[in-house]
Amino acid sequence: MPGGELWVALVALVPDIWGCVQNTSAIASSLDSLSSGQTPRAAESPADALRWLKPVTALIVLGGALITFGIIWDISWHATIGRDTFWTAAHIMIYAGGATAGCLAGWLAICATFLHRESFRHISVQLWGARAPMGAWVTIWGAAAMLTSAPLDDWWHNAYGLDVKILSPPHALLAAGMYGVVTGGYLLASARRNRLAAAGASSEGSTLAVLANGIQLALSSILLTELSFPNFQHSSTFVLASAAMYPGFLVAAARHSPCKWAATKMSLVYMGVICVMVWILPLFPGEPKLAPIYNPRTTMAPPAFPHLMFIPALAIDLLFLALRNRSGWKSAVVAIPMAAVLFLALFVTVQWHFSAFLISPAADNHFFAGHGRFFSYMGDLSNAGRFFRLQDRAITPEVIGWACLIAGASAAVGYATGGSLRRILR
Amino acid sequence: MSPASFRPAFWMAVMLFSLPWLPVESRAHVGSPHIIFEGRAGDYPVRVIIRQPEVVPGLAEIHVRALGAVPERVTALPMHSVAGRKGAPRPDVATLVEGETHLFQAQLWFMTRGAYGVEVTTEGPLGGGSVMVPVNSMAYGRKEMPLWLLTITLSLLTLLGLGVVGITRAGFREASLPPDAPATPSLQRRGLIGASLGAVLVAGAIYGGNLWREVEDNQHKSRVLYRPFAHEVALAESDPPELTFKLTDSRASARHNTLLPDHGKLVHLFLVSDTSPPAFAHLHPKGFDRLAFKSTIPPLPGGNYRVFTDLVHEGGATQLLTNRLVLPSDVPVSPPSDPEDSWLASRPVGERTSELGEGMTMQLEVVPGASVSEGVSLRASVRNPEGGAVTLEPYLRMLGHAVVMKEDGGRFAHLHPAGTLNMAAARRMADRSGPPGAAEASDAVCGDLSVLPPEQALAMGREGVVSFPFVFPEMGNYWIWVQVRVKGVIRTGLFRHKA
Repeated sequence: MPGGELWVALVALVPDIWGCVQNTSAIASSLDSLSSGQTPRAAESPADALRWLKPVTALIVLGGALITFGIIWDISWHATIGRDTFWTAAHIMIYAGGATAGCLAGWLAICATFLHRESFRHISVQLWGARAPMGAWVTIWGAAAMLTSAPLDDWWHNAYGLDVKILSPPHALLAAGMYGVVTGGYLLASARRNRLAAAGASSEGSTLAVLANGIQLALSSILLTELSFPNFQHSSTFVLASAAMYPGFLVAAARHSPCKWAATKMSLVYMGVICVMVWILPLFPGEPKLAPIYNPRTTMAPPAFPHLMFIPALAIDLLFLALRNRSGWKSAVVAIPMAAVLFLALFVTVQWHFSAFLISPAADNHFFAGHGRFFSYMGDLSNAGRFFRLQDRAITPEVIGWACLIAGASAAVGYATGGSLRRILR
Repeated sequence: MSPASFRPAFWMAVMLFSLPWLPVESRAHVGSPHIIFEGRAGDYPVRVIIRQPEVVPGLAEIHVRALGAVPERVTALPMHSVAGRKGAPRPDVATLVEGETHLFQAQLWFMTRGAYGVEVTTEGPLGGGSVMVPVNSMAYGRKEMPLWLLTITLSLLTLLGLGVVGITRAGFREASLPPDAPATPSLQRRGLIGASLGAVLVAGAIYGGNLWREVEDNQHKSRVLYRPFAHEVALAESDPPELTFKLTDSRASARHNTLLPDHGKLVHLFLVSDTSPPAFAHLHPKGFDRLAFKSTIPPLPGGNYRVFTDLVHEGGATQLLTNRLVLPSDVPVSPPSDPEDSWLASRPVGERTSELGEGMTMQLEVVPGASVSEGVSLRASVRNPEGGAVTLEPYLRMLGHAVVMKEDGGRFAHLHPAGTLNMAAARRMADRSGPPGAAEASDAVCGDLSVLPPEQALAMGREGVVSFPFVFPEMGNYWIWVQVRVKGVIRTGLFRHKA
């Protein structure tokens, strides 16, 4: 299970983390020597100074994971209990993830700017006189955006009432911040992987990059939660939104990663993240504390079962495997439209049938959490087995046409992004 | 991007960010934000004050003061008028306010618009019981962003925008640069391209964010913000001339908006002149069409009048509609269309004493509560010329009625001895969510004298005193009318009070 891989990877990093702590105390004693006029110890080699970049990157990725799990938990909290304050466990998890990642990225900036300037010179970029790896800057920005959204969100609630939907302008700023933190971790991992590949270690560092990429996809999919419930998956809105979001991720992963089946692995990480919450959340009791209650829940509401993303991901991986000997525009003119068509054909077909299964009584179990098990306390369970938005938002040939265009645009963005990610070294 | 080149962009961003967030005039609701009940919750006399949420979903603040013995436990349960008790969560236990022995507090979220009832229950050695207090969950306004918050937010957003531009510039310039790569002019060009793209992204975010905010604000105004029912108040050219009140709003035809009688009357309409002291009338127009009502015009001086109309709907929601009317000065005197209509053309005003005619006087005492937030008691006592008590008879099923209006017309409340809660709405909520007989019990708790034997009802008025609990919503000058029935005639006292 992808979650298990993450824990194994983190445990393996413990010696590196300990090395980081030792290096830090060595740095402190060097600074003390300088200030007291004593001759400092010989400067450590760049390899020593950068040895702890890997555990710090992993911890930043972990921060992004905490944010993603925290958001899913928070949505469940609102769907089950309804009432919350700023200091719920879910909120603390989200902000702890952002703060941890932000502080660690800030530490990287301090190291790159002041403490290990020479060692970091070749793996950092300059921003307003300071230096840090590109991913660290993005993470710092993300953490700052998360903090900025807090007072704005508080005023928005006082002015317009507590949000009953996921996306509002302050939440969009928070989402941008969270996405920044997660993307920053992904950039750090990708840059490290690319440097190792350039040095001859072609597959080292791929695991962390794939994990970060999968967490990024899971976080992005949460934005489409309100459009992606199984009961909505026969509507045009779901098809168009999915066409805009997912092809870009899959194509970028398939294109830029030196490891095989990158898109498939990434999609399995995404599914793993969501499935963990589908299976864990209902184990905990929860009851609604807000009226009106139309669905008197007794356990925490799980998210809906994730999309079977690995199927179109596998097809896209195979496509890029077949095109591996092509490059430049010859590759792009084939890869982009084919990826878009493959995604749409497989994703829409698979989800059409899978969603019908998920809303049926056959999915009314702990594993699939279907047939309304994910409904909030305001949901009407008599609608658990129905598809919504069929009349006014039907999937017509015109909708499919638009979806192809949108998926193509998304795939093009993913293709370009994947190309950039292959080159990132700092 | 050099500092000189980004200065204009900086100020443009500040301006674009500021404009939509600057204070916007929000719609005013003249009704009192507090629902007050004073009476018995089972075996315990209590005063319940509920501050309604101003937004939806929003938080209501509830205070319960024990006026006698203190119950061991006080709970508050919110019930939506549609979902009822079945759709209600477990009651919240109210906690004692720190430093207090008689004052309990709780907070309840109201998640949707519409009529709610808060069931306040007491338990203790004396027994227990509950009272249903109806509350409207409506978004009456939109709060403005304080200037200090606007400044901080704009500053942080500007930093974030500059961060995006800087990061994209750095990324385009150096992110894919191998070690030891020389610095070339092309790197700077790449950096500028990145910065330009970043600037486009930021500009797009500002534009898109502002557009989104406008859409949300417009949706809030059109779908969430309370819009009083459209209505017309006019003079009909009839003989004798009549005042007509018509509901012209399309929503008025909906079944859940059918009007409910409130202590016997479908419509309570108040006229208050712009003069000082104001002329006043309390009318009960009769229906001549499903959504249209008419009343004869009382002998009031001509001029400009504010019109306040109290309505209760089938769903339990209440409304206070406002309008204006110009009365002619030569209206012929005609019998009132409703025997319970009353008016007061003019009278010298005192702060504490009002002449009622036939030598009778009404004295008003504003008795402060235990704290400012718990309001006051408006205690009116009627005396004969000899100074003795005058028996008060039931008027519209109550021992008395009071109307409180801020001098500028910005606040208005129609209250009863049980408080500002609406008796018809309380009855509706109790009927929907309580056991058989809950509706009648609610009437009794709310002070409906018609549920008592006539002798008992008269006995309650023997001391000539009636009291109204009230919380002045704002500082300022208020007109207070107190209406009682004495010897079969409705008498109105007028007072001026500075809160």
